[in-house]
Amino acid sequence: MIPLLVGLGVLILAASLAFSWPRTGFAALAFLLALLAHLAATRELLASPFQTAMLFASGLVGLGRTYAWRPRLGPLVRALYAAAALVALLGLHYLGRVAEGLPLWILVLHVGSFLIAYSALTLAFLSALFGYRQHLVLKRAPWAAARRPPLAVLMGLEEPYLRAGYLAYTLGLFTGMAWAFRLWGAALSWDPKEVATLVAWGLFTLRLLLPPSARPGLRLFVFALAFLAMAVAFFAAPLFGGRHPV
Amino acid sequence: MAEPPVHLVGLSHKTAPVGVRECVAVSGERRSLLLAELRDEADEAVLVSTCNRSELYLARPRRDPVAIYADRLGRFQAHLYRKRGAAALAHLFRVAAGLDSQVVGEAQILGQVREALMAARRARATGPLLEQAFQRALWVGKRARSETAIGIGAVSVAYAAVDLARSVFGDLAGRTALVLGAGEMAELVLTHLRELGVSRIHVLNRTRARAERLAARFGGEACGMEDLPRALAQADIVIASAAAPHPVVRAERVRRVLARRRRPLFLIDIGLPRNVEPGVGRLAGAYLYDLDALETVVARNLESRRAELPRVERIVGEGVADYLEWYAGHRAKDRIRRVQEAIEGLYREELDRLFRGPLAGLGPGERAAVARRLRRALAKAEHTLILLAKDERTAEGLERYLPAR
Repeated sequence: MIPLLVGLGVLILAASLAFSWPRTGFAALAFLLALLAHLAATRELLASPFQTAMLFASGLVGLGRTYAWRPRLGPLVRALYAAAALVALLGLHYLGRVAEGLPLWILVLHVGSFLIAYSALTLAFLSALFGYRQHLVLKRAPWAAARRPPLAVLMGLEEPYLRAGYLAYTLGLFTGMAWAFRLWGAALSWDPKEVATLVAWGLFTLRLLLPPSARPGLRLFVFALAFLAMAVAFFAAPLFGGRHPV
Repeated sequence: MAEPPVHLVGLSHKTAPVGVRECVAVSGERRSLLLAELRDEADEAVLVSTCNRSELYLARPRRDPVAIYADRLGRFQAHLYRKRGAAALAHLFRVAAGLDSQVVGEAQILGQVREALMAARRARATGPLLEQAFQRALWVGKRARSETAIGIGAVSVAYAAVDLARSVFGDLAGRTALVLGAGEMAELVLTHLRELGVSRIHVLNRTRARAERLAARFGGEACGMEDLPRALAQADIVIASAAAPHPVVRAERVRRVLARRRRPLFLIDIGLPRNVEPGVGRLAGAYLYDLDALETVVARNLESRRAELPRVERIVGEGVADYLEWYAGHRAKDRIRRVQEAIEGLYREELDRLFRGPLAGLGPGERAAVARRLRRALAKAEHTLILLAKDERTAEGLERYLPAR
């Protein structure tokens, strides 16, 4: 049932990517229904990376729909839908992984902060990626620039979403550290998820500290490293075990 | 099958110099009068007249279309081209799609074709043949522009600059422009930018009076060259066309401006010699285009429009095929109508002859019975004739015996 709902959501997004089918809201709905079905089966809210992935994918679809009415942002919206489909499919891997007995307040605050951060930072990163592409096109092949998302619009999306995502990421990180300190007496350990999250946070900080005059390629490189570390922290690190519950 | 009786006579930028084109160009009241006169020359008439072409489309002309054109528009036979049937339709559809325009794919022609049809409608000069032809031409034109990239990309230097500005900023509303110098091209670019919502304009010129004149025209602010650092810091778009012997905008100055802000700076250098140091183009947040770059953009846009030609030609071909299908049905309907009219005429004529001749003494009841019998007999003949009229193989032979329109 749950994989079917995820598959349905992914199919809807694939139809939107292939045939510009506009009803992507149904994909978000399918992911949320999958989350509810998982919640009903496990009776644990937000205690599984699967549920987080479903909310993350729904959030990306929601963000995509926010900008879908602007035709020139079409490539960015399609990238958000593709990212949502990928997140949903990767989330299936964690279907059976559930942490039990975690306090709800910390789950809502800690996981909620990271969810906001993941969605905002994904949009910011995709904007940066398309922005860099447009920067190169404007410099090297300006005749092709008119068919792509405008540079200043992408920059206008990148910076605020990066800042909002960074704040949420910091909140998620510190709530996690406070929780770990209370539970184990140490805010940090060599847990793969904690290390990857801290590395990502450090790289996001570095990206934010880069001056506006820094080369666009360098800014994107640092952002890409940070985003990669974030993706590793969410999807790959739990596979290596450690003290983090999931 | 016989081709539609649609004829085209005309001249265009391809066959006639501007001196000839301006002699035959008609618009407004003169076009209305001309179309009214043309109703005596042909069943239907539409005149497409723009600065690049004056084409007369006629359906079933009563004399040689070239002679009609020469008498009504001017004797320029050496520059005229003449087409008929499917070739005339294909030409009209190509015109509407922008394939025959001086700048391939330009959008203005579609409006001009629509205007030609409207003028002919107002003059009651259209009928089914040209009405269908022009409606399909408008449809072909719209399809060509929506399904292909024939109309994409600026094809003038000024528009290329504006398009690039939009590729950098998206919406130009609320942006600030800085104009260095007061050249003609700068004015043209500024006009387009103003139309797109650029709200604040600073004009810098060595001669303050000229700067003030240009600033007043566009509702901007005139400044002296000493204000350049301040104006540059505020500007989103810089249009440089000053007649200066050395670069006015230095890379170091732009670098300092960019270091203090996040938004990009878009510069168009149309001055000769160049007003902006080429090093500016290498700065991360600066997008600099000189005349050569803009001309390259125009050339590439034209090239990509030309690459769309085969697809547009396919749409034109489909348009012609659709019209010919419609015409086949229309012709059959027309023949059937003519058969019915001929039978009805025969019925009335024979009835009249009978009641005035050998059956003059019949009473009303008997007359009605005779009329009924005659109607029934002719209806049977009519049915057979309609079957013949519908069949393309026999229709042409039948047409020879039908009374003319």
